[in-house]
Amino acid sequence: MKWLKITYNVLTVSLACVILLFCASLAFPVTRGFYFLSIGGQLCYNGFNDIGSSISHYGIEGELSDIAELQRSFSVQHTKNGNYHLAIKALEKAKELDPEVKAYYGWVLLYYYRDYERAYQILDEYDRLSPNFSDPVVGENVNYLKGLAQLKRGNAKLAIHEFTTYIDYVSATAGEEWVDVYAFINRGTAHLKLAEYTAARQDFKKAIKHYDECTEAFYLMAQSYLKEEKVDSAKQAIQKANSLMERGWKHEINYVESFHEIYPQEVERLRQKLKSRLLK
Amino acid sequence: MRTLKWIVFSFLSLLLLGVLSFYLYLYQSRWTADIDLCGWGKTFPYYVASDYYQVNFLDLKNHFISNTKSSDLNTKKDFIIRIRFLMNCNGEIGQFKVKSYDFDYREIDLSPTISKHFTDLLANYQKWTPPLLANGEAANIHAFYSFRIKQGEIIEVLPK
Repeated sequence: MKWLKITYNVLTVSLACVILLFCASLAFPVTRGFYFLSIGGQLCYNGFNDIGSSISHYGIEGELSDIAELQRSFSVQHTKNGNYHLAIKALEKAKELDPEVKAYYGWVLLYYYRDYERAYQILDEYDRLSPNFSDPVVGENVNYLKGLAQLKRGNAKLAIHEFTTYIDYVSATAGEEWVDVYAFINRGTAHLKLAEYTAARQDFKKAIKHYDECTEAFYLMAQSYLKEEKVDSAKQAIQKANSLMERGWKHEINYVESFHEIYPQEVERLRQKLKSRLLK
Repeated sequence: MRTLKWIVFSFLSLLLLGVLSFYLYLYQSRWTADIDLCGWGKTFPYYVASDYYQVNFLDLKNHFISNTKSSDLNTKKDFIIRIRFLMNCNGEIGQFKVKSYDFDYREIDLSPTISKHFTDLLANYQKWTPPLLANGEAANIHAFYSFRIKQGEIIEVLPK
């Protein structure tokens, strides 16, 4: 009974200390800001977008507004919730505070906003911070991302140049097997746009060499064969793409559509087109 | 010691009451939503749930692109329109919230007819399946679509 009483008293005092510390921390603008930021972020994550935005926005104002990493973190959930005005304002501020943020800013503009002009401009600014070096960006590579932006802007030749810089850099430093397979796919797509079908197929074959269940490579290869009226080869490639697609093999990202995403109805459409061509 | 206990007890009671009131304030919008949310109305972000399309994202994009003509937009401005919505665990959608931005991501006011055009198209698209979590359980989700409109044409539908 005595020990129970002692434990109870110790617990009460500890709890009182915790409460006191919590109240004291509220007096400091920085910790208060953190609380608002965390609570607002959690509310946004759970879908209480309006109130979550207001609370987290309140947290990021004042003392915390000069911390680039916090501005960047604040932008993440708002990008994911489609609160573009809040996210971009925070990223602009973070970019001014720390130029290294340009890596993330360019990446997010490319993937989540599909703002190819601005994404290219910011990634290029970031790339120029360390010339003669192919920088990593959010687990990818700056030249690969610049290539994607150029490809989507319709500058296929410039895209090929960027993809090649990335592929050559990784091949020379780590080996070709470490190159992202989809860099070959995207460089091949750029060649396709320039009607350079043989070069395009070389890239698709390289993608298949490193990943033999790459549905996108077979699908695009079928397209390139069809452009040159090589219907038999196109049919073989599309059948392979179709069987892989039926087994669910395709590149997907949880958050956004990937840049080289293909869908079953596209594969089926090309398959039917080739079928009708063979019958003629 | 007895005073300290009373202070702790009062603080905890107030804290509990505050949290409970805040919780009620938050969830009352969920309980009065235009769709019946499952359970207590908790929603997960769209990227936590598995595929909730009967067909796929391409089909949804085509639905918007093929049903939108320049005359529906009735403006020469370039803009982004974003619709947030909730989907319940049966795959029904509701509680649309629209915001629009210019290409510099500043909030702008759009004609209500444009907003209505997009919300109507979303409401008319009924090819959904219940969103499933990783453990296989059907759940409510919150999601959004945003459309980049350039020269009266949809050039991008985001996110997926």
